[in-house]
This record gives sequence, structure tokens and C-alpha cells, in this order.
Amino acid sequence: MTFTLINASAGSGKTYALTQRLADLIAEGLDPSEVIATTFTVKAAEELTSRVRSTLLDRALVEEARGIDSAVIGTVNSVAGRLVKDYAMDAGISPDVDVLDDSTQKAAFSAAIARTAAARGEEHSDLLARTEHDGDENDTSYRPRPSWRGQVRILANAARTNLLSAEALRAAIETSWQEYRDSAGLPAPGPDERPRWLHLLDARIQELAADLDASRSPDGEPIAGGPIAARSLGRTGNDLESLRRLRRTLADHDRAPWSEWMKIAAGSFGAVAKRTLAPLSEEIAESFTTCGAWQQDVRDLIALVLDTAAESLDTYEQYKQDLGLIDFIDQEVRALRLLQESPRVRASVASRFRLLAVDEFQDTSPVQLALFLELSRLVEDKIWVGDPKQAIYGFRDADPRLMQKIIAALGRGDTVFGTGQIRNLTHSWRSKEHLVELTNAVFTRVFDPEDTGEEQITLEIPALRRQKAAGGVLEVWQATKDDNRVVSAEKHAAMIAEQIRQRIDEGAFTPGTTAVLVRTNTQKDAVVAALQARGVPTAGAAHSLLSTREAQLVRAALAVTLDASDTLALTELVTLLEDHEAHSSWFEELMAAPDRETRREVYARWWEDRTLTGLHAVRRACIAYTPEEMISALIDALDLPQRIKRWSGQPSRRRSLDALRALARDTTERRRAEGSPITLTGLRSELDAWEDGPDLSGLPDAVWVGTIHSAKGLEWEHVVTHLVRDAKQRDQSWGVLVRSPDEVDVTAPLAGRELLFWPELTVPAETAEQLADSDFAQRKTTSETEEAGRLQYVALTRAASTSVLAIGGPRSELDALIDGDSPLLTWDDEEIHVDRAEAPLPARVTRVNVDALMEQDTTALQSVADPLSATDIPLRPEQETATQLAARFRASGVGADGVAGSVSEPRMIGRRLVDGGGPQWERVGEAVHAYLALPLAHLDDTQRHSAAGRLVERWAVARAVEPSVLIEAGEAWAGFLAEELPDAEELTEQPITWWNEDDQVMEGWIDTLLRLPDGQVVLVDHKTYPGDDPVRHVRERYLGQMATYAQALAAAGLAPSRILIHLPLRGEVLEVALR
Amino acid sequence: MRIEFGWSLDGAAWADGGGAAGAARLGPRGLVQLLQGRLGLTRPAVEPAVRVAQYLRRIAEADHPWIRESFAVDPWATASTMLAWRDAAVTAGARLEGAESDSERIAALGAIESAAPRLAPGAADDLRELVDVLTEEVTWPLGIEILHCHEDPASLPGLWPRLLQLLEAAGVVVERVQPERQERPELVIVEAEDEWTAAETAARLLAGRADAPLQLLAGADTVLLDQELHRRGLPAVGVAEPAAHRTALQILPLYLSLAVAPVDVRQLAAFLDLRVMDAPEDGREQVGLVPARARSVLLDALAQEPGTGGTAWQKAMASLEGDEELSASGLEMLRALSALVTAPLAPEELTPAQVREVTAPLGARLRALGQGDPSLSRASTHLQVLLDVLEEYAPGQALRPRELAQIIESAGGRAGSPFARPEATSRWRTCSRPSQLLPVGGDVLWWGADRDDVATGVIWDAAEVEALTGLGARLLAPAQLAALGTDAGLRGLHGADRIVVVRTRRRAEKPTAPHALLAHLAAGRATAGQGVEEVLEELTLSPAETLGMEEFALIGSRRPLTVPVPSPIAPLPSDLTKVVAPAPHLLPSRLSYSQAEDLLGCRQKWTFKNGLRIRAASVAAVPTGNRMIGTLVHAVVEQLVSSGERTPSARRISEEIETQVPRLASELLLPGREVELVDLRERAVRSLVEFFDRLGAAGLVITSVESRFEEPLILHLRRGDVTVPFVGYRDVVAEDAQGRPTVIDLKWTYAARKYPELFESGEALQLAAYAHSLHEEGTDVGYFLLSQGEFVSANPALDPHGRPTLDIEDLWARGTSGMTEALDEIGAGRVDARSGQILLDAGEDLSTPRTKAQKTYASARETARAEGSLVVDARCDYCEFSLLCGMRGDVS
Ligand code: SF4
Repeated sequence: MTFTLINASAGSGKTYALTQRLADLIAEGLDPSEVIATTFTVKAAEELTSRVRSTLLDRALVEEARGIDSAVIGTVNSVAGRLVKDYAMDAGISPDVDVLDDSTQKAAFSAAIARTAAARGEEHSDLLARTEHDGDENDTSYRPRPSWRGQVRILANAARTNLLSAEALRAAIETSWQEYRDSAGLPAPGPDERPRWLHLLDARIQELAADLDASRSPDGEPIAGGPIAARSLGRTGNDLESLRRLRRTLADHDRAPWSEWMKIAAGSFGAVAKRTLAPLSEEIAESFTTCGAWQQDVRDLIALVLDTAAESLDTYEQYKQDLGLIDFIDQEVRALRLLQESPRVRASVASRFRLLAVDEFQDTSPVQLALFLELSRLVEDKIWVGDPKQAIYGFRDADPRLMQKIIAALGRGDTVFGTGQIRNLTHSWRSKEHLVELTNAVFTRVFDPEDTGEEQITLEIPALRRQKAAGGVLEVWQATKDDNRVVSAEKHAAMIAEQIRQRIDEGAFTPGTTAVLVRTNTQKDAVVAALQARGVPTAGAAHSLLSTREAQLVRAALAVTLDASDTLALTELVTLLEDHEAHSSWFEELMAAPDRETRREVYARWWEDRTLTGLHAVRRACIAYTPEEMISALIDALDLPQRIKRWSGQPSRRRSLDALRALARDTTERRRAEGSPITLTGLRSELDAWEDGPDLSGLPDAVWVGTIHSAKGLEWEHVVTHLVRDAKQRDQSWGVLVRSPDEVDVTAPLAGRELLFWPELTVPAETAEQLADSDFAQRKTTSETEEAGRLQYVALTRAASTSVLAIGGPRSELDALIDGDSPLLTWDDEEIHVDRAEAPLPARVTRVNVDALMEQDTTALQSVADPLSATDIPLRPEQETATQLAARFRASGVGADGVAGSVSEPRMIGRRLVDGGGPQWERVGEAVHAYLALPLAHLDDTQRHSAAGRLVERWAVARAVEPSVLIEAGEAWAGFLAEELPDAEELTEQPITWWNEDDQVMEGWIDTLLRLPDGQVVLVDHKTYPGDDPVRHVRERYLGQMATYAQALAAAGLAPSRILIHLPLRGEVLEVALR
Repeated sequence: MRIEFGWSLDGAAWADGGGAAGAARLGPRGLVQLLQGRLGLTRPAVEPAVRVAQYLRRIAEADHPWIRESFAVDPWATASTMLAWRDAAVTAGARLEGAESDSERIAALGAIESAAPRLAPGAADDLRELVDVLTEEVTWPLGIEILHCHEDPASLPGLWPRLLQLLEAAGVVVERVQPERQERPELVIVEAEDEWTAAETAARLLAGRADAPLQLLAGADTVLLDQELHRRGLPAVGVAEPAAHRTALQILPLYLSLAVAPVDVRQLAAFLDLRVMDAPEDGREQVGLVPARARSVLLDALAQEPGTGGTAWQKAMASLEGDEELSASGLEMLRALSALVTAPLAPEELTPAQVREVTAPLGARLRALGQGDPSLSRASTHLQVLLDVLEEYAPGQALRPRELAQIIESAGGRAGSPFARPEATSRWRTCSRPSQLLPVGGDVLWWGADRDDVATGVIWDAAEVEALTGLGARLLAPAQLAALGTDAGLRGLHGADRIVVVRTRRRAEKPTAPHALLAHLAAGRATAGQGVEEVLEELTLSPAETLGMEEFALIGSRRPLTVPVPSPIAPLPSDLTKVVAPAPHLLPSRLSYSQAEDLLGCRQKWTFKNGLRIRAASVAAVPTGNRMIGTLVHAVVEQLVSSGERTPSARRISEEIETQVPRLASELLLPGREVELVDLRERAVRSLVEFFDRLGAAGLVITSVESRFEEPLILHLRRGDVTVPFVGYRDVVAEDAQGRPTVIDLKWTYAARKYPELFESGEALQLAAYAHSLHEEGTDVGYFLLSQGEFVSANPALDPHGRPTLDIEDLWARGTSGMTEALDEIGAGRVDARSGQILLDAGEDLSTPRTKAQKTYASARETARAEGSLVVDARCDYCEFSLLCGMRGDVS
């Protein structure tokens, strides 16, 4: 048993280390099929496999390299999924399930709990209205209302990934409420004062109205000396309106949101209204949380959400079972349970695997961790590779703290695994000197504020690289403004884009080696737009598929191909295809048509246009296409690959084409998993509703723009990190918290975890403060800050040569990563200072006034011609290409036309065996055929009987014929041969291959070849014809086939001298003479 | 006869050269078939789905505890998995019958094997049988002189070494062949970013070769490559995967999905829309399972009432019953379909007998249509296999929906692709696996070269291996099995002089990984000290690197190139107006409010939609979302009022909604939509209670709902007066005690601000139109917002906002003059697109955020108001004509 932990900071050659280690072990005799390894992404799995293979080949271990495909290497999900599938019967589940991915899982969960959620939602409709938790989970608007169903889903997932049961969720109702009440410092519940408040409000409103009337004439003119000053009239008038509206809302006692009451207490009213409301508003502010009804609502809401989540666990389970589905969490949980509970599975896994490798262990979720630990107990040798500093998947339930505790325990050696061997990789193989210095300084300060040196943080440049890695460029791009406001995403993006444009222009950067890392999608979209505005090729563009010309064409073509009456789609095609005859006259043509009939003719003419003829063939063939083939066929019929060459932005357009195919494929997959039929009509409506854009990531020769999460594991020469001025503060006093105990047991890593849920509510400011100070909020805040630190670590370690901090102001969000008042990072014109660092680092600092920048006209980069636009063919084939002959043909498919030959009268060789057909004659024919294929001359009687009996039985024709009939046919044939062609050697079922003069190939079996003593060859074919006109039948049906065989034989040097057709069912032989 | 036998040779060409007799190249499957013929062991093929069903019965009888739970959860998948394991074990040589073992899987397989129900033999049994028969009975010559083996027989798994031994014993010379050539071929890898570029490169390579033939190794489907080849006048390679997702194999599941409640109208629409054959004569409607004549009639019915069994559907059916031009088989199909969807089966009624019954009309229709059409006969076969499978079930046994779906899917198998049609050529010979390459030197073009997920076969653990070995099996370790494939591939590749790989880095948005053998080939080309990764990188070209100044060049293949004249997509016009010759015939035969709105909002929209009747496919007209809900709630109000209740209770309203949903919004009854339905019901009930209460409190009594009116409207066009009927439906008309009418229009919308704004700015044209047509002095008007439960009205009893009274006559006059002007201009051939133009003129477009666009319209409205005219926002963002008018273009 060994346990090796490789602690691999960013750029320290993690994959190399892992690959070498695996290769070493295999070289030492580990069988590749005994390896089980998990990676974070599919790509990483592929890469690991191919790296290990290459390394083995490098070491000339060819045999071992050949077997590497038998190793189990994949993502955590796929490896867990594989175990679950292999041991499905042990788990008592279906062995064939469809896996829900992250996006389909969400939909499946909603569908599964729809019935329950509908019922509970209806039952608690008023509560949800009062607490404003009746929002839509999929609401994407700026400030969506909280959705209790969304919370249910999050809770259910959290419970599952932390192995918490329905009971645990139910138990959390009481603990969550207690802790909420205590943390918020809620007083003992008092009476419900709302009726009184409403009453008071009425009085206030009347008072205000009266004051207004006294201060304003009916036509709105101020009355001098009125109780309200003229300048406040407008505001007060509006306030009165709002109060009246508020009053109407509040009147619906059962449903009026609590937050509306809070509005009276803390509403944004003008001074007059505030004064008028004063005693009431103070009372509400003071006694709001005392209100027993409110407290009950909070409690009920917590109970509703947690209880529904508990119930949903079962409902969701049943739903998946009915449809044969499994999601990622299930795969892991089930795999874990199997390993924990089934002795057979434990033994089986232990016998199959000797090495467990875990890559990127820092990003594992609690249940994944438990799974790895369980596997680790069964598998001899373990190598875990990762970097706790790069754990950035907290939002997907990864728990870095749990991980750290486990690592510490392994290091101490007091676990069942004994002492783990911990290896630190300390060399930087990625970045240049100054970049390494910067990250060393920054992250020592962030991750090790006490300077304990316990954590592996700093890297050094290895001697081997020292020369190559010298220098490196650090830059700060600082946005300045005319005012003191926060730099908007748009302006921040403009600065970044403009600087990049200039550097590309100067030749310092190239698009393909540059990346911009951002935190949010809004930032990403802004940067992409700003880069595009400057003509900088960008990977990550955010346009929707249907806003591209190519997708518009395919959509219209699909519609009109499926339904000829879709004149809208047809007209669109005409307007979109600039070479369509009617392209510029379509409107005129339609307007000129006096009636419907004439318009129909116009449409018919358009459809016949040369640009659309390709679609005619698609229309004919489409019933046989899969959705994906349909898309490919349409793309070709529209000549899109050639058209695109004439447009701008080829690479991304070809991505659109690929996206269309992916859409067809995904739709097909999804529908299949849902068990719903897959139709081209369905494809059409999917495409119509499609809002996503093509995947433009990794577009070559383009600046990469993306979130830090998606930059994980990647590197570039030049990396620009988008940093805002102030770190974003989020309200952490609501949501889900999973609390783990301080000590963990590696054999039960998830024991003692508990879950809390607090709803998102509007509360008085004082209460809000108390909630923010709670252990609940503090824990959430701390883990978010820590995660932010790790995220920035990932960001700042992506660059090889140039690291740019693009900052939206005079200080950066990085400062929030450390405690205390001093900033983490400061800079002057030439240097960056890191808090507590020994020496400043040389840097190039550029300050950009973004307000001025926005005023300037943008300059665009010179566009570079795309070499791939060169072509060797015209836009469209000049004429319909002649249909090409099929590569293969069957002799039996060759017609008798053009074959000169004659058929002799039949010669009787035996009894007629079958009369006129009958329902089973085809099978009888097969049985007879099979019997005649045997070398009957070599079979003794018993063998013939048993062979004939067997064939009759196997072809299930016992009701039609006796075995003796077969024997009789064989004897008749043998008799004929003995008489007609004595001493012929009989070769049955002979393979024949022939290329004809059109390069078509025929492969087939010739029933019988007779080789005569003089070397001549006779071709024989047994035909199961039971009818009455054998001569004509043979002439019409088989002449072509015989001619083909004859030619084929001739080509093989065996030209037949005679051709016989044997009709065993009729007991006849005919001779064919070809001329 | 001489046989060349190799582990990966199934599917390889039999021979080389011009022709050959008595020689064939066979893989395991081919050899088994050959020997079956030699030994008289042939039999008709059994559908795999039927075998699964048979095995399923065996499992049920054996009732082995190890799989009991899985079997209860998912009988079909459990049976097919167990059967696959069983077949693997049998192929490996194990005799399972009665096998007992500590290993539960083996024990279960043994128990099932001993169970009574019949199991048709499969490929595994064929092999077993061959071995048995050869061992025991056969003494006759096999007619095979020599068997050239690519592999060492001893390295093969399962019964194979034994079989080859037996052949030897039966007089066949079994000889291991070493390929004639084993070189270290040159390697060139072209890696494209997308498959189109890869296809273009490969096609250029093939087109530009001076006659030297090559071998084409098609490791991936060649659909795109073939398209490029055709464009260069070359024949297709014709490799494409068979699939289950072809219409032919979806007819049955689609039809059956309609047989079970709740019926999904969208699937019903898809079925109606299904075209299965091209039109007999060009230009006519394609042929469907549902006759073309009926298709649009029924789709229109669904567009009116997106549910089943409603009056629209019944009316449509009635009209079709009387249609004499419908074929008998077409009419039968229609009747069956209608019966199916109006009275669908409850899921628990789904039994084999029922399935048989409901599919009978489909079978008849397929036969009637399908004479000789391969796709339709495929569909017929599918149905037949389904019925065969169901034979294995008790007729009255309830089938779970998932089980039926699984059976249908298995019964369908996979249908070949129309693209799988290789075309004749002497320029290359094609194979699909590296092991099938001939050792003839020369060039190999390897298309695809993606990592193939090597089927590792069933994995048995140590205990199982031991148990199976005890039962006579011979199992290879997974690494050995993997090596078998790798070795065969390398042997094939090493027979070439040069290998050119053309591959794509991604396909359908998924990254692809290179084939494992490339690393092996690269290892062969590495110089001392060079790593494989390095070699691969060095040998890899991008497609751009194959392009010279005016020529494509790759391994001696050349094609002249030109750079096409760029023809960038035209930018969007800044003036959307279209001017053509006068078109005086473009007059509405009648006008409705929505037409009026279009005429005022956007003349092009009206022209496209009403003047020229440019239409999307009928299937797209089946409503959903807010439009569907709007219709539903309208109908509910209509029913409530016509049943005579003044203030219906919440309960009554709720019941009425329940009644109307199946007819008008049946998709809300589908599983997973419960939340939406409840939400809708809650909202509608609350809102309608409010509606009736308020009306009552305001002393208003509803006098009519959905009342149709038709009014001659005289338009003073420039070319003279024209009278067109103005028609519409007034949602609700109520009267106060004095008999003064109030016209109320119901709106289901989430845009809560739109109608109050229209009302307050005096531009609620729809209300004016409906009120004007009453011709009663003092008519009041208002909206009721169904989703919000609020009135928008000047009557303080209905709406406390104190809104100004709408000047109906003035507004109507402005409306008619706007329409008149619009029709004048359209008739003159000058058609502008005001809605879009307003945005463009403000420097905005379709991507402008809605809130900003709203402001733009507001100011346009204000300007117009000052001139006494109207501006209507025709909602370009939802308009289906935005490509035609020029509002929507290309992003780049
Ligand atoms: S998109 Fe706008 S401008 Fe174009 S037709 Fe439709 S409504 Fe008119």
C-alpha cells in the first residue's frame, strides 16, 4: 500500500509528473488495465492517456503502450458511471441509464418535482406571496424574485452531494429556524399589528391628501401658505399616489408581501410624506420582527422549502427510475454506496485495479472525495495530484477545507492509509522570472499571512530554464476617470481592448497568444464587443446562432424543404441568397402578382432557381436522414462552405456550421433520453427556438476571452486579468450552508456534516446587521473570500511572458484578499509593490482615461486575409454531376437487359417437391439450398439424414417438407451429375470477386462449380422457383446474374464452359447459353 | 478455397486485383457464416429484440436474487445486459447451463441458462455449435484448403483457438501469415479546426493526384468528404453510420406516443406534418401518412385549439369525412388517428393486445403507401418486429411506458444512411479500419483517424475469470485484447509507404482525440532522443500550410487555387422603404383590428402578412405560451358568462379552467408542467374573481361576450372610396343601470405597463374600434389585464388610477385616416416599415434593449400625436418578417 500526494502549484509540471509516475509503474510491471484514473475534464483524460502512451513509446515499451487503452481513465463522472454500470445489478438499478448532464439535470429535477411543487405551492400560495418567494427559477432578469423551487433544487443537490438524507433535511428545519432566530436576535413573538397599521396608514394618507389639497389648487397651482411648500408639491403628490397603491396592496391581508410593510418603515419618500408617516413608520421599524405572524412565516417558509426538498429526493429518484436516468451526483453516490456496502463489489474492484490516480483532487466534491477515499482503501497504490490553491469549484459543492483536513491527516500518518508520501513540485516550467516573482509575493501574502511557510506556495525557476525564463513583462493598465464613479464594464472593456489592439499593432502581442480573463459573463461580453469593435479577432463572441447568415439560411432551407407551403422561408431564402434570380426583385415580383394563383406561380419559379436545386434532392431524400445528416445535407445544398469563403469571419462561420450539427445531435440525444420521438419537424422547432451561440472557444489566431474557471489548465504568452476596483460584496445571510465538523475521519469523511437553510428576506436594517454577523454568514463570507483568492491565483498564473493587471481604478479588488487596511497591491509609474514583499517589481504602467477613450473614434486593426478562402472549385457545381455508379453491385441485381443468351427447356431430374409455392416456400428453398451446399458425396446416410433433419428444423419448415424431401433433392441432383457430368469435382459455395469495367466490384458466393476432368468448369446455380414457367422465369430473372458470374469467373481464369440452373423444388435442370 | 482470416477483417474487401474465385478475406463473423454453410448449420436470422424478449422470460422464470431488483426496475435493459454477458461468456467458451459459482454474476447466468423458456441462438451460440459439431460429428471435407491467419491462433480469445485447431484437424491447413511488407511509413498529419476544412483538404488531395492509386482508410463517416468530392466531380467514399433516428424508424414511436394520454399536441402536429415520400409530380405536396389534403385542415384546427377533441378538431374531421378526394386508406388512417388522440389510452392500459390493435391501421396505411419505397417498408418491418417481440409477452400484461419505448427502439434497430453509398472508382480502394489495409506500399489517406473507443468487451473480475475458466472459457486479459486490435492496425499501416492523415480537431462542437496508432507510427519515425509528442508536432500541418501562392500542394498532389472575389454580406439598409410599381390590387377584402394595427404600425408587415400572404408552415402556427393562455382565459370568461352567472365563485372559475385546458392548452397537462398549470390557474382565478367583483361593484352587468361585429368601413382612398367590412370580436360588453355600455378587452400579458400607457395617451385604438362600432353615445371602454387582475379604465369604480376618458371618435378617426394613408401608399407601391424605421432613425436596432426602444417609440408617438396621427409599435423583436424588411441581418 502506498499513498503519494503530489502538491503541484500552477505551472509546476503536474501532468508531466503524473505521466512519468504512471509510466514508471507500468514499466515496473503494472498492467495498464489495472489502472483507474480520474481527471477533471474529458480533454484531460484524453491527454493523460495519450501522454502515458507516448512516454511508454519514448521508453520503447511498445507492448505496454499497446495495452494502454484498457486502462480506465476518465472524468470522475465517467469513472463513477463506469463502476455503476459494471455493478448495476449489485446496486439493484437499471444497467442502462441515460446520464443527465448539468443542464438537463436542472430540467429533469424541475419536471420530477413539478407535481409536488405545484401542490405545495398552491397550498402555500399566500405564504409564498407574503415572503416573495414565488419567483420563477428561470427568471433571468436583473433582480429576479427569489424562487422557492430554485432553493429546493439547490438544497436537494447539496444534500445529495453531502450524503445527507431526507431526514437530515427535515431535521434542518428546526436547527435552521432556531439559529436564524437567535442570530437575528428575534424577540418573543408578539401580536399581529397589521390591521392597526393599516388603519393608521389610512389616517396618514387622508392627512397627506388633505394637506395636499390645501396646498394645491385643482389645476395644480401651488397655494401660497399651504401646509406644503411649493417645491415639495410634486414629490408629495407622487408619494401620495405610491402610498395609495401601497395601501391597495396591503389591503390584501393574506398576500401582501412583508416587504411592502417595510416600505412604510424605510420607504424612499420625500420629507413631507416621511414626516406625515413618522410615528407609524417608526412603530413598524421597531416592532416588525416582533410580529408573530411574520416570525411564523419565516419559520413556515424554511419548513416548506426544506420539507419539499426532503420530499423531492424521493420524487426525483422515482422519476429517474421511471425514465431510466441518472445524474452525476447519483453516479458518485451509487458508486460510493456500492463500494461501502457490497462485499462482492469490493472484492471485484480490489481484484481489478492496482493503481488509483486522482488528478486535480482539490476540486472534488464531498461525495467524490468519499468515493476516492473508499477506492483508496481497496486499491494498492494511490497517487493524488492537485493543488489546494487552485480549488475554485466551491459553487459546485467542492469543499477545499475538507480536502485540506484530509491532506493534513495523511501527512500526519494517523489514518488507515498510514503515512502518505507528500511530494511538492517546486519548479516553475511555465512563467518567466518576474511573473513568478509576482505570484510568489502576492500569494504568500494571501495564503500564508502568518508566514508559517507551511503551505507550498512559492515556485522557483529551475536551473535548466534559467536562461530562457529570464525577464518577463509585468504590466498594469489602470483606468482613470474624470469623476469618482466606478468604471463601468463597458469602459473597462474599452481600455483592455484598446491596449490589446495597440500591442498587436506594435507587434508585441499576437491575437492567438493573448487571453483576457474575466470574472463574469457581463464582463466577458463587454470585452468581446470592445475587441470586435476594434477588429481584433476574438474567440468567445457572444452572438446567437440565428443571427448569423449561415444559420439563417439553413433554418429557412430546413423549413421550406420540409414544407413546400412555407412561403415565408422560401422568400427568406430568396432575400438571403444574393445570386438567386429574384434576389433584388422579389418584392416587386410579389407585388406585381395580382392574385393568389399568380403568386403561387412566382413561388414555384423561385423554387426552381438554380441556387435552390440542391434542396430538391434533399426534399426527396429527407425521410431517410437523421437530423444531423439533414443539417449536413442542407449546408451542402446551399453551397455554404463555398459561400462562406466570400464573406468575412470565415473561422467563426464554420463554427456556426458545426454548431448547427451539434444542435441536431444534442436535440436527438435529448429527445431520445426523454423517450420522445425524433422528427425533422422537431428539429425545425428546436432550431427556431435556439438562442445559444456557436461555441467559439479556442478559435485559432484569436484573442481568448473567458472566465477564470474556463481558463483552468490553460496557458498563454500574454494574459490580461480583468480586475475591478472594489471586490463585490454579496449578502451572505441567506442560502444554504453545509457545516462540517472540525475533525474528519478519512474512513467516514462526510460524517457529522449538517445543513442549514436561511431564506432571503427583507428585514429591518438592525436585524440585517445581526444576520450578517452570524456564524452562518461569516462562514459563507470566509469561504467566498478564500475562493476569490484561489481564483485570482489561477488567473495570475496563466501567463508565460506577459502578465497584465487591467484594473478599473487606483486600487484593485485584490486588496480584499487580505485582512487589514493596507492594500495588497500598489503601483507607481514603473513598479508594483506587494504588501510585505521585500522589493518592488519592475512593471510597465499605463493609465487610460476611459471617459476620454469612449469619446474617441475606434481604430480597427488591419484585417488579415484568411488563407483558407482560396478555392479550387466554383461556388456551385456547374451542372448536376452525373450520378456516379455504386461501388458495389450484386450479381443477382444485374438485369437481363442486354444479355444475349438462351435458356434450354427444362430437363426433369426428379420429382417435383413443392406445389406452386405455398406460404413457406422461400424458407423451404433456403433449406434445400443449404442442404445442396453440403459436399453430399462425402456424407454417409446417417449424416445426410441428420443434416437434412437439422436444416428442416432450423428453417422451421417441418410443416411443409419432410427431411426426406431434401435428401431426395440431393439424390436427384447427384443422379443427374453422375449421368451428365461423371467424374466432375463438385465445389460448393465458392467465393467470387470481380471488378467490372466500370470499376464496380461484385462479391458473392457461387452455389456450385463443377470441375471436369478435362479442366473445364461448369457453373451451377440452385434456384428455389416453385412456379410454372421456369424458362421464362430464368430468362427474365437470372440471365444477368449468370452472365455476371461467367464474366467474373472468366476474369479469374475460370471461364465456364456450361451454365446450369438447378430448380430443386421442381426437380429440373435448365441450361443457359450465353452468346 | 483459400481463406485469409484476421481478427479485424470483417467487412474488408474479399480480394484484390481484377477478379478472384475461391478466395476470400474474412473476419470472425464471416468465417462462422462460411463454416455454417459448410456444415449445414444455417438458419434464419433472429431479430436481436426478439432474443432479448425471450431472455427476459427466462430471467423472470429463473428469478435469481442477484438481479431481482434490477429486473424489477428495468426488465428490458436488465435482460439485454444479461444477454450480452451471457453471449460474451458463451463466445469465450463457457458452458453456462446449470453453472454454479460463488460469483453471483456467473451463478445468475447459469440459473437463467437452465430456465425453460426458449432462447433463439445468437452469434455466440453459432460459434459454440460449430465447435461442438466439428468436435463430434463432422468427418466430411470442409472444402477449405488453407486458412491464412493474420494472428497467432493462440493469441485469440475464447473458442477461436479451439475452432482453428478443429479446422486443422478437419484437414484445413492453418497457417500464420506475416504481411509481405512491414516498413516504417512516412507520416503526414493535417489537422483542421473543423470538418469542412478537413474535407476540403482531403478532397483536394484526392482530386489533385496524378493517377497513382491509393488506399483510403475511412475511419470516420465521409458525409462531408463526399460532398467535397462530388464538387470536384469525384465519386463518393460512402461511409456513413446507420442510425435509429431516421424518420422511417420514428414513425412507430411517434404514432404510439399519440396513443397514450396525455397527448402532446406538438407531437400530434409533427405526425400530421410528417411527409414520408416526395410528391409524385414535382411541385405538389409531399405525401404523408396523413393525406396532404387533410394535413392543413387538421393543423389549422390545432392552431385554433391546441388540444384534442375540441370542436375545431371535430369540425375538421367532419369536413374530411365528406371529402371525396381522400383515398380510402387515407381516410382510414385519419379516423384511426382521430380516435387515438381523442380517446387515448391510460398508461396502465398499455398492453401488447392494445398495441397490436392501435397499430393495425398504421400498418395498413404503411402498406398502402409503401409499395416499393424502402423507407416505408423499413417502417413496416419495424412494426412487424415489434409485434413479434410482443408475442413473447402475455397479451394482457401491462407494459410500462419506458419498457414499450425500449422495445420499440430495439425492434427498430438502425437503418442505413442514404449517404452510405460508395461509388465506383479505380482511383482508390476504401476500407474502414487500419487492419484492413493491404500491404501494397504506396500512399494511404487516413480520413478521420480519431481515437476509437476500443470495445474492451465485458470485463470479468478475477473471481469471475476463475469461474468462467472452470466452465471451459478462455479469457484474454483486457490489455491483451486491446493489444490484439493495436497490432492488427499497425500491421495494416506498416504495409504502406506513406500515410497522410487528415483529421479535424472538433466535430459537432466536441473535441476529437487522435487515433492511438498515430503515436505508434510517430515512435517509428523518431530520431534518437526525440520524443513521440515532439515527432507528432513536427509532422502535423495545418490546412493553411497546404496552400501555396496559387496552388494547393500536399505530397505531390496539386490543385490550382483562386481567391474568390469577396462578396461581403450587405450591411443593413438605413432606409427600409421599398418602392415598386403601383399595386392597386393590394386591398384588404376585410379588415380586423390586428390588420389595422399592422397597417398603422408597419406597412411592410401588413403587406407581407395580409397583402401578399407570405406564410410560415402551418405546423408553426400551433400556439403556445402567452397566446395559448390568452385564448384559454378568454374562453373561460365566455363560458362563465354564457352560463349566466354574474359573480362566479373561485371554485366555479377553477372548474371552468380545468374543463377548457384539455381543449385549448393541452400541453399544460403534460407531465412536468404541473407548476405552470397551477400557477396559471391560481393567477386566473384570482384575477377573474377580481374581474367579476369589480364589475359587480361598479354596477355593470355583462351583456355579451365574444360578440362578433361586422361594420362597413369606408376608406377615402386617393383613387376613390372603398368600402371594406371591419370585423372583430368584442371580448366583453357590459351595461350599467342606465343601459350605458362598456366595452372591455381582456389581455393576458406580462407587459403590465403597455396598456395603461396606451390608454392614458389616448391611443387605445382597439378599444376605440370596438366601441365605435357600437354606435352608442357615451360608450365607455377599458382593458382588463388578466395576468395582473387589474382594470385599465377611466371609470373609477373599475380602476382607481383616475385615468382620463378615451376620446373614442377622435381616436377612431385618427386610426382610419392612418389606415387610409397606409393603403394609399401601399397601392402606390411605396411601402415603408415605420416600426423598424423609427428605431433605425434613432440609431437603434433589434439588439437595442427593450426599455430603450420603448423610450424611442414614446417620443415618436408624441411627435405623431402633435400631428394628429398615430404610431403603433409593431414589435419588430417578435416580428417574423424581420429578415424580409431588412431589420435583421448578419452579426458580423
Ligand atoms: S421587423 Fe419591424 S419593420 Fe420589419 S416588417 Fe416587422 S414590424 Fe415591420
